[in-house]
Amino acid sequence: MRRAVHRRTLLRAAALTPLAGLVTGCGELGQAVGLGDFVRVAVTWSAAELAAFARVLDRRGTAGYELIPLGDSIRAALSSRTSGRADIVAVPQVGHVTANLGHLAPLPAGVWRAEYDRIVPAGARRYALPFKLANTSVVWYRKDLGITPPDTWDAWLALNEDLIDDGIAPLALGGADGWALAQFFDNVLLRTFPATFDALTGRHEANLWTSREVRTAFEMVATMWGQAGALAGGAGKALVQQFPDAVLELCRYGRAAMVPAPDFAESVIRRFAPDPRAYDTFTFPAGGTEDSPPLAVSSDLLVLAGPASGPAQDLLRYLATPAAPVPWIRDTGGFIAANPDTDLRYYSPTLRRLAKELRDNDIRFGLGDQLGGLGGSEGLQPVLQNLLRGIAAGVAPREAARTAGQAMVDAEHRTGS
Amino acid sequence: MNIDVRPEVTLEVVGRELNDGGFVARQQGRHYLLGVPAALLIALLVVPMVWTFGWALDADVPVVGNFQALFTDPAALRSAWHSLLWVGIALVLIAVGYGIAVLSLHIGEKRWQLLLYALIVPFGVSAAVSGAVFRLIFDPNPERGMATALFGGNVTWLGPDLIWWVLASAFAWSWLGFIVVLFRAGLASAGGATFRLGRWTLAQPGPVTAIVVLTVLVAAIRVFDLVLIAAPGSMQEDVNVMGLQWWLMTVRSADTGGPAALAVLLFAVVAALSATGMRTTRPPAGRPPAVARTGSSRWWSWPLVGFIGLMWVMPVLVLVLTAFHSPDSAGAVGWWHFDPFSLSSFASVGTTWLWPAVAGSFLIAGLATGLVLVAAVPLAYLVTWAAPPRLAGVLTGLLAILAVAPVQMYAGPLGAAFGELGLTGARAPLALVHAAAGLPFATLVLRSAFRAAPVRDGRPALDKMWWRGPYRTTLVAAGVLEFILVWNDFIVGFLINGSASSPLTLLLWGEARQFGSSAGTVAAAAVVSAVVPIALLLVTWQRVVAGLTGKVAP
Repeated sequence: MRRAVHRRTLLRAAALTPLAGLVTGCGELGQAVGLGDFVRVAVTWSAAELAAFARVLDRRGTAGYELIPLGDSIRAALSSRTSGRADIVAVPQVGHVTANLGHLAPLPAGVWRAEYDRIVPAGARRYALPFKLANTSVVWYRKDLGITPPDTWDAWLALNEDLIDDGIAPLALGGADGWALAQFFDNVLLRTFPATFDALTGRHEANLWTSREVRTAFEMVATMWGQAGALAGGAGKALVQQFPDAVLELCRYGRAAMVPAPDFAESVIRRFAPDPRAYDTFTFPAGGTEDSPPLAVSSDLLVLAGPASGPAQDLLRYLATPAAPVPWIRDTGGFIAANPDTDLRYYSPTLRRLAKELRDNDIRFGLGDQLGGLGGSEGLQPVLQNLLRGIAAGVAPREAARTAGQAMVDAEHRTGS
Repeated sequence: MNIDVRPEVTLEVVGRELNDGGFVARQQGRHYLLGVPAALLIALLVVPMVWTFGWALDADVPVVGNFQALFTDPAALRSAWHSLLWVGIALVLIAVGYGIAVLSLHIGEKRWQLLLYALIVPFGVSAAVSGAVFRLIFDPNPERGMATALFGGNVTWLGPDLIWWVLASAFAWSWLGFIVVLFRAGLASAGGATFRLGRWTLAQPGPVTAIVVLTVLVAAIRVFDLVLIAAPGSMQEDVNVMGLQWWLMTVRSADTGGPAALAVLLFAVVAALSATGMRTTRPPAGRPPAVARTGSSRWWSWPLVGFIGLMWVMPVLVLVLTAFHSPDSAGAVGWWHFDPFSLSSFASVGTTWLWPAVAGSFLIAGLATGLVLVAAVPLAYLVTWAAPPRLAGVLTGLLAILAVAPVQMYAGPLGAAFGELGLTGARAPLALVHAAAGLPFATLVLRSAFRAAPVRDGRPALDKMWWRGPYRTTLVAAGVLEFILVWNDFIVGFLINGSASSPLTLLLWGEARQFGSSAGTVAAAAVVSAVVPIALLLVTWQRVVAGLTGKVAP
């Protein structure tokens, strides 16, 4: 009897061994308990962009990574207080890198390019590798409406009026994503008053938020958004729809003629438009008198959490090569490689032009990237969302702009910037 | 007799009624060893909580400084007001659930079974998933959002005017089944007893009322991930609650005093609420008069069952049908468009992040459940049968306080400690924290079930509990609840360990960053996340209800 039990136990154990071997062989178990050579890569991307990045990693041939889509909580992945331990983090804002240098490992030797110097501020240069660039001074439009790309702000306003008269909403906005509104304001300010933009980000003077230029910029924004019939679905809907939904208004539902959106709107258009070639872009119109003001950009930067493991450094070295992002550029679109040697022939014609524009023009990071919370989720973003909300509630554009300007002064006071 | 070497012998002795006074006294001391594993786990909560109190009181103006700052901060005040609004929503929901439970006694067994399955499924679903489902239904695009399409695209459900309705519906969808099922079981076992509420004489649902009121009130005031995932970014301020405000404060500044004061305030509100809830639901003394009750079906029972059943099944259908569209189809048009059936949404999340996250969630939830049972069963045994009544009362009170303590009370210091020790993102330590957080509630559930279980021959032996019907049922109930709570958790993992420990719910939120256009992949991940707890619940719910109400499983 005793022996029988013993034998049964043995048999059971023998049956389980290959199963256990299989599990550990797949690495799921080791991965689950957080052991092994797995490189954990934390990113903000989701959906199509996430799948595209997975293809970028898969192309390397080894499956030794775990992809962690953190969405907007990526910011916490770097700080220590509510942090999560990832080996490589794709950070969407330069400012987050400089604020968390203590938690990072230096980049491996040989990945830095001289061209990156104009993207990464001096303090973060040994720590943050530019991977993806975004040209945010872009307006996408439908080619079938006979639109002549406006090159001044006034021409744009006039174009909008014509389109409204023709019964089509000129613009779609993704107001639920604060950054989409903030980029619009960045562009108005940068491309109308570039000197004020630089002064604001360089913090040369106090009280710049009350300046005439900033007030004018808010008024320009409120005037365009507040034009009756300007926003597809109305301001109330613009407030709760996200950035890709605004692009869908253009390329899928046909309710908007234009979308002010960065180059990466291309991935949405390629996915959802019946004919992706029916759309083109123009540069965000300049409002001032200056010749070719700078373009607004943003960038996703790769950082190594310290201390960095060997496999993590290897993966970062791979991602720094010119050919690494090719699957994303070719198959998904909406990606501009930061590496200057990435072959331009993989881009669509539109993206090739936008990538070249970034190489040939003076560039500036947006206020959110440069001013932290004040230019982002604790200042500019909610202020612009409230401006949109005011317009939805019928507040006059001039009044809404005045309120927004005052709210920025308060936010500056509150955040202690 | 050596307790370390041969615990089974000791435990067997513990279970026997002994008459020799001296021997009992010596054994009494050893009984307290039963509480050691629980004490170690609870220290993981209590020490950080004391720390948080310290942070809250440490200010420029000692003791009150941080609280003064809180009461002059409009954002914090607004979040507190919203949290109270949630308490109101919970109370209304409890009343509605009670009403349906009373009505359900008149709808006949077969129809009740139908209704039961419709009601119980959402309870197994995490708040993150139910938030995703309701955001899907109320999507502002008439092409994609069912509710928007039904109203001809003229209503902005997720806008400032209606967002609260959407959130309250999602909460009701999750919790109504729990309320109705427990109230109904309570009403049935109370045998027609009544109580008076103002002018009305109502059927008495019995001691289960305390569990219902407590659980739902605490869930309402702890609302976090539901708001985070269901409300668009521009609406977050309109629906900000204390728990979220705490998180925003910790992310935006390195100050520890402000968030700590907010956590203490939240804790005070929850504790006061649950104390009131426990007091008012205490069963009245004496034998109350019985109310007449019939079990026969009424004419309105079919419409009632049909309406509630349909409303409760519909979100599940929306989720599943969306998940079986391709990502490109689900991202642009709603589930009612007859696009070909597709598994590519599942394939898309499967090739990027899903399976490691599922493995991680299984590991965390399984480990936490095991730890909780190992610590909670001896403690509940001690409190129910071995400790003197006065001490048992004090212990139960302490456990009740810990059971309702918001995560924010211990998340700050624990998160900092995790960071210092290099444990952030590790899964096993997170499971330990989950076990500590779940221990008080599990012990209370076990204790009330132990007390309600029929006593045949004195108290049972600890190591024999698994083999005796009523107790095994209770252990299964406690284990299943803990597994589901941890599997569905968002806030503990998020606040203490960061998203990189990557349980399913957290990564679902990451995937939902661009919500509408990611509807296919979000729904696919949500389905996978919901299948496990729902399957577990459907298989075990009879035992869970029996275990919670202290009855023997059929």
